[in-house]
Amino acid sequence: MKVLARKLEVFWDSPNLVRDIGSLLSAWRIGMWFCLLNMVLGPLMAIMIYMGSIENEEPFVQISQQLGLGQYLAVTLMLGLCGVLTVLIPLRASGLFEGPRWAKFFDQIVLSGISPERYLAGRIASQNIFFVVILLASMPYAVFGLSMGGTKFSYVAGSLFALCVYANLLSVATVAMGALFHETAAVLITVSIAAALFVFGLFPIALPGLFTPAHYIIEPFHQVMRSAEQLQASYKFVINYNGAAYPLSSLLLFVLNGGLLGLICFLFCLLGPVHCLVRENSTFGEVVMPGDTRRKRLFRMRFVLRRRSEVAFFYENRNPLLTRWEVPLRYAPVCALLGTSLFLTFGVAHYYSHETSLQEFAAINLTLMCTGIVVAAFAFCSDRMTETTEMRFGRFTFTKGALDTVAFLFFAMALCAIGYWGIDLREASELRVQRSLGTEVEAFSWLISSPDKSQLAYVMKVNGLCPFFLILGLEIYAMIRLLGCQFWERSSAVFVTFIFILALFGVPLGATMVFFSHQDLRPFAQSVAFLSVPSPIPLIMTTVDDQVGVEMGRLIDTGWYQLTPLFHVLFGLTLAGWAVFCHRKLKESRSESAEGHT
Amino acid sequence: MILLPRFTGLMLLASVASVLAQPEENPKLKQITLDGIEVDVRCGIAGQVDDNLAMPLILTVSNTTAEPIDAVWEVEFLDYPNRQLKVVRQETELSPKMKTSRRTRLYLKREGTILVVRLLGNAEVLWQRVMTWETAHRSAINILTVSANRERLRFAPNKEAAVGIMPDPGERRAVSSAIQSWELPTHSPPLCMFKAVVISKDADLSLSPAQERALADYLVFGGTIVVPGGNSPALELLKSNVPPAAAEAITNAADMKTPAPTRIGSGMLLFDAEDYFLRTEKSTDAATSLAKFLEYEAEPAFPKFLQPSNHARRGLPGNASKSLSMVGIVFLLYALLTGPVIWLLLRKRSREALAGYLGVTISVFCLIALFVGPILGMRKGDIQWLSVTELTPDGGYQWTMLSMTSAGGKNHQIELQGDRLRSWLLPSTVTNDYRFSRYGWGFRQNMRMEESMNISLDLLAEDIQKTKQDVQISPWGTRLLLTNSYLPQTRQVDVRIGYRSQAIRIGVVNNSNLELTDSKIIVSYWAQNQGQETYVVLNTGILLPGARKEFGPEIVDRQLGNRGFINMNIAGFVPYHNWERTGGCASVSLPGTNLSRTPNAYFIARVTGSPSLKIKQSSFEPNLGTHLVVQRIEPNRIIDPKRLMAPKAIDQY
Repeated sequence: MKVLARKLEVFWDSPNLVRDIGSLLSAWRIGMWFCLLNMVLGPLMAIMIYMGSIENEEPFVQISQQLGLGQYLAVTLMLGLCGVLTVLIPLRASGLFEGPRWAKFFDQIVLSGISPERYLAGRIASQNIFFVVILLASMPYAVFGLSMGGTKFSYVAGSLFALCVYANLLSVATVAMGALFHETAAVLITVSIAAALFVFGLFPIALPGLFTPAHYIIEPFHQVMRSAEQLQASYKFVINYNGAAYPLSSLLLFVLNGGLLGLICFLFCLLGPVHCLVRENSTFGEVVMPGDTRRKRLFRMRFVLRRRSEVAFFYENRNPLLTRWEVPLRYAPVCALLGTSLFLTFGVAHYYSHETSLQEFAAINLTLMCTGIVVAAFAFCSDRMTETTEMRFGRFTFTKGALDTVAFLFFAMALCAIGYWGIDLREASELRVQRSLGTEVEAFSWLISSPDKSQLAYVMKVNGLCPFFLILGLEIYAMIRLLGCQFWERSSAVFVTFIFILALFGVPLGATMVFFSHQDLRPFAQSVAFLSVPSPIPLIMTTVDDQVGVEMGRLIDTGWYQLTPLFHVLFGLTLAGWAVFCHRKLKESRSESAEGHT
Repeated sequence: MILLPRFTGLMLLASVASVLAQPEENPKLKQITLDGIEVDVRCGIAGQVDDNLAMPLILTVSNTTAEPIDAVWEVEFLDYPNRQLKVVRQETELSPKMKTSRRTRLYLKREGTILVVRLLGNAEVLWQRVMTWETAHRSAINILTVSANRERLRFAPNKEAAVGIMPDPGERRAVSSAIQSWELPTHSPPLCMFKAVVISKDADLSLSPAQERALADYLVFGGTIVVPGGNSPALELLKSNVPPAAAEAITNAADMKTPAPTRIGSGMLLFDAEDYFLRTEKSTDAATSLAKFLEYEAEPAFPKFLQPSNHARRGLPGNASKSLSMVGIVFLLYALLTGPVIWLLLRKRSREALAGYLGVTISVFCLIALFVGPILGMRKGDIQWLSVTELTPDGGYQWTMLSMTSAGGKNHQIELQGDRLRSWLLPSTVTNDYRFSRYGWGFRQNMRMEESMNISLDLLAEDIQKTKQDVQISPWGTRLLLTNSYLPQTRQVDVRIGYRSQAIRIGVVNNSNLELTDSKIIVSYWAQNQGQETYVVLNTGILLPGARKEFGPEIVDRQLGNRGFINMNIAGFVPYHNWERTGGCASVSLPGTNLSRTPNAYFIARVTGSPSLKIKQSSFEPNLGTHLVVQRIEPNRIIDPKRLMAPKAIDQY
């Protein structure tokens, strides 16, 4: 207990907590928060009363009547509070790095030797005081709902607990993002993701991976709709065991998931960004590149690199134990998060697959596979500063580039497997359902259609695109890695890759299409049709039998699209080889530089 | 005459929003054998939609031999092609005679196009029925046929094929629906969708008392029923269920040698001596003539003339508006005191002062909010009325729509009093449904209505007559109560329309015991307008005592498809007009026009207080109401149209 208490001391023994408490009770801030809260809650409750009682909104009228106005308003209030917290908490949690940097005392913080956990934990802890202030401000609304009757105390208590967890989760997520990205981007990303999850949580979809309390808060609405059988599927996640179904509480799921995510985020608060101090940015406050003396001042200002190096210096104060076990601590949560997200996304698609046709499901499956590969490519890439960074796993040392490659290949293969065999899983399930419907009634055979062989064959043909998409994914990843060895910023590498891929897929095809569409140029069209080989569009269109224009039809008739997979295999191999070469060159230059320093 | 069915139809179409299932049943499959016992299977859309706007579909399996059924069977419902049939709720119950029948009631949402109901026993299909959803148009001339094999009326395919001299139905489509007698509803509002109900000679009329009462209510409150000629069971059925005064009219009609339309209450009875509409070679012509006749009976656009302008006001009525304003003011004050006031006044104060101010303000408003709920709970709600009473020789027939709005309270009751009282509390989800909203608004504004789903057909008896209603209503929500009631002791208004010096003269004497105000005469007829058959409505405007104006016809010409609609508002005056005293009389002169058909004429006035229906007890406060009295002016009171073929054709307008 004493050890735990000592560990938790970092939360209230933080200079940021003392500072935040001091600045919390100012008339300007209090007035602003109350105004904002009233501007959200007042109109929201008025609209909900209007929708639930006066206006002709069927579900709202039904819900308000069955729940009672008190509970109806309690749900509305909690949703309003959740929305307010989604915006305000990330805003308040920002400024930990940028504030001192702009005020020019960040170097003093670094030099003071304060550990990152102690510095950041204060801001996370101070959110709870802000949360209490927000709750106080919403008290009259809650009391009004109570006085109207029907409010359940257990629901209110559960919602407040969920909101408290949510507030802490948001603050720790914002702080972690702030350590990894620029804080403006961190706030934007956190608010966007939280808002998207909030909206997603409002839907009556059974999800085990709940990262928002919105699903629990709106549960009374779902209950009413479910009791009226307006919802077909269960809105609660159910575990089937031994023939019995056990619905899991949304609150419990959120607290577990939120707690896990919060721990991961806190871990990243402790770990900070990947160590990126190389010779060019190893001077605190300035980044000096070779040849800078000959450059104009405008081109010597490298704000992003400067910020990264300053934050890297700050994270030199972290616990050495974290450095020793950096590989599992950094990669395991990312892989777990990405893997769980992909698993859940595919799981949800399969769960609701009975509501989609076979073709629609095949399209969803392939889209998810491609999206997953692209997300994994962006998640596991590095830039020139971190490409050769050495990371430790106990006694072993690896470069970040090698670890990224392994992680990406693992995810790409897994995604391709799910994409390829997902259809079979769905089809097996569909066949089971059709058999259970009965087959004896010939008079109504149109109701229970037998599996359509031609449809199945078509879908399997389209599914054959999976390996091709995997090749494209590998090619894109090789491109990102190659450019990552050239650029100091990962985002620049990703952006240039995006432009290059668009150009590669679009420009040759467009040029060829010009020849096919213009009457004067048409005689030369056959001769230049090979230019379209890099574009995967003719191949995809041929496979899915989509409606194509006359010109595209003529291009497809030339048959050049059959060489597209071969081209991309060769191109991908070239890029991969080039990327490996660049990685080695970079590593050699780093080694030489390190030897030079010693 | 058709005013009241139309009036109720307007409300009912929206309130009883469900679909008409047109079953295509194989009669051989109707009787099946379960466990060696022959049972009867019935299935149909029944009753009103529930609170979730779902339609009840009832499947009844009943034993014809009264022996207990031990067989086990399952019911399967399939929706094609979507397979997304939303069974909102399923209730299975046994009949009072245990095991002799079983009733499964399902509440369904319309999702697909075809519904298949199957009865399965040991995985074998014992019985099945395919139903298709149909949507009926409110603007159509809907005719319901009750026949043994659900035989529908057939209409002439085009104008040329039609015979007879009745006006062409024009753009109004005649739509025929058919049911078997057991599918008749147990209350009259669903029937009000139909302009006429044709009872075939071969229809089995072993109806439940509720179904009989529904038919009679439909007739006396304005419906048209076509019955087989002579003393048929249908006639006996109606005779025993209508008010005594109307029963006498039925007896007289049955004794007539030449079948003719007979007014019964506010409705009309027609005789079909030889099952002419269904069973003869000329049935197509007969059905077309019936449709034309019903079209000819079209009423003028009454709501426009009936409704006072303030009734069209939207928003919450008095008490509800005040209570909601109170809540709004409390929270507006809270927002002001905790936002701008802190900025403006407490900027320079210490933190302790700020914390103290916030603590006190929040506490005070919590306390206020704590009392707001109970205060609102005690407030009376609002009632708005609209009633139309038709005066007939048999008595007054009143239809009333009570719009009840809560002012924040939760438990409301209302107790009504009236002769032959029937009332239907419509679910709030229905009354708040957009279709109803459109109807309500359209009714008020006399707009053309959008298409609505058809009515429901009832299968089983339901006791829906209640004098005391518990109105479950959410705060500031609205519910409707639809009632009809009867006023036995009332006399009519004597109206005579004459022709003198190129003008029509109308004389009116109020013989009723009702105090009438804002009285008008509305004459409508078909005429030639620029070569087209045109429906003309003449409105006298309000008959004001003490003033005389010459004709100043104000013409509103609206094109409704290929038919012109001319509305002439003529402010008229009669020296003897004095409605304050019972027995006063009035007259007005109208211009001669080129009538091609016999006109319909109505006398309309406002009456203070409800003629028949009374509220005995209520937790609502009446704050706005309109009671109207309508009396059809019988054709024999109207001048022969041939004399009106006239110097002043309406073409000149």
